[in-house]
Amino acid sequence: MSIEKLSRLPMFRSVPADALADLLQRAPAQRHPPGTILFRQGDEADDAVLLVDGLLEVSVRTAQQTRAVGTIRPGEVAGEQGLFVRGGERNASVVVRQPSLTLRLTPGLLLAGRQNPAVVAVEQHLIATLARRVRSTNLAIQKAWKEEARLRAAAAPPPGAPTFRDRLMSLFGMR
Amino acid sequence: MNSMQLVPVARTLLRAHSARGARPEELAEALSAGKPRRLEDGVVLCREGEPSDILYVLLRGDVRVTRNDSEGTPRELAILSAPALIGHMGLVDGSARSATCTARGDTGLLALDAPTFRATLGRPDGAGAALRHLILASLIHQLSTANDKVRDLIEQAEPAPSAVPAAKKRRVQEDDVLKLAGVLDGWSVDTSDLDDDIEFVEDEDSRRTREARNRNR
Repeated sequence: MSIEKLSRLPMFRSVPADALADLLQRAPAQRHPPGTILFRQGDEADDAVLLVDGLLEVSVRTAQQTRAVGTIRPGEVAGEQGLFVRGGERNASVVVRQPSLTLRLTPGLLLAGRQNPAVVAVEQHLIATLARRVRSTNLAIQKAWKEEARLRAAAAPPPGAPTFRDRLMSLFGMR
Repeated sequence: MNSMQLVPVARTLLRAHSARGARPEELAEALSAGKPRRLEDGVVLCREGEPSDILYVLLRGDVRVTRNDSEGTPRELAILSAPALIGHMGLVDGSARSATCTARGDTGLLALDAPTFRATLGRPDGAGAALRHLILASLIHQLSTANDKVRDLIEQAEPAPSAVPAAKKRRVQEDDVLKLAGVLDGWSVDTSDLDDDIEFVEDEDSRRTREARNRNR
């Protein structure tokens, strides 16, 4: 994989080429055909991937079914829990949907590369991404609760209107 | 503040967040850029809705975290015990303070202002990496704990308001939602069962200020 391809990802736009070359050397690119399972729910989480090109699908298995809950696009990281939290399990499976190019990120790589601006950029990108996810989840829950409060206040709630529980299930991919 | 004094605090924070790949000595170095502060019982550290401009590290004592419900009544979200991070979300994403924090008893903190926090977060060295990894572990913890709480809530909640409540089912209350929001905002890390022996060492400036205040009473 070329450094030019990597430098087109927004998180690396201000990262010097030699830092990207160093990252590529430490985390060699891997190609995956559609259908490849990158992470399986319940497995030990000890690494992550940065998607450079392609499309990944995230799915969650419940007692009743397996349900797709999102996609990972170029410039996004999948499986980050394994990099920063000790002893965690995969809380979702990740499958390749379109031919994909990834960089494998490991705790060892982050440790060895912490003076590399490309590694700093990946970590700062992840902080921003996770903070957005926290905030949007919180907003969605508050919105669902306001809707519930409005329905409770109504003299006669419309029959079959979704409850707060229904909205939470939908929000968290449980139905 | 001397970074060596902060190593036990850093170690406990990393353990409480199950953070991997960060060294306590390096996190202590990152935190040592903060300025020590002391609060007496009942003093408000930050108020819900105010701009977030400082990250606090609770070194000693407890802090009560409250948020107003829809009627404006303060509801308790958590009691944080030292050591704990306070206010990192606002510095990370620019959002306002999500809750009001009030000192319970004599409290010691470190205050890292926004420019210092952001500069440290971007450092290409061990101290920068340690702070990034702590924040990342905290964000991951916030999301996964919220996920667990939502599953519990769904399990406990009535399927529909009109249905006859089944055994052990209940109606979701605003308090449940406030607590869930508190988890997402990072108020759920509990360090109370970690038995690290943390001794808060008062710096010279704080000691003089406290003694002067006591003399003037």
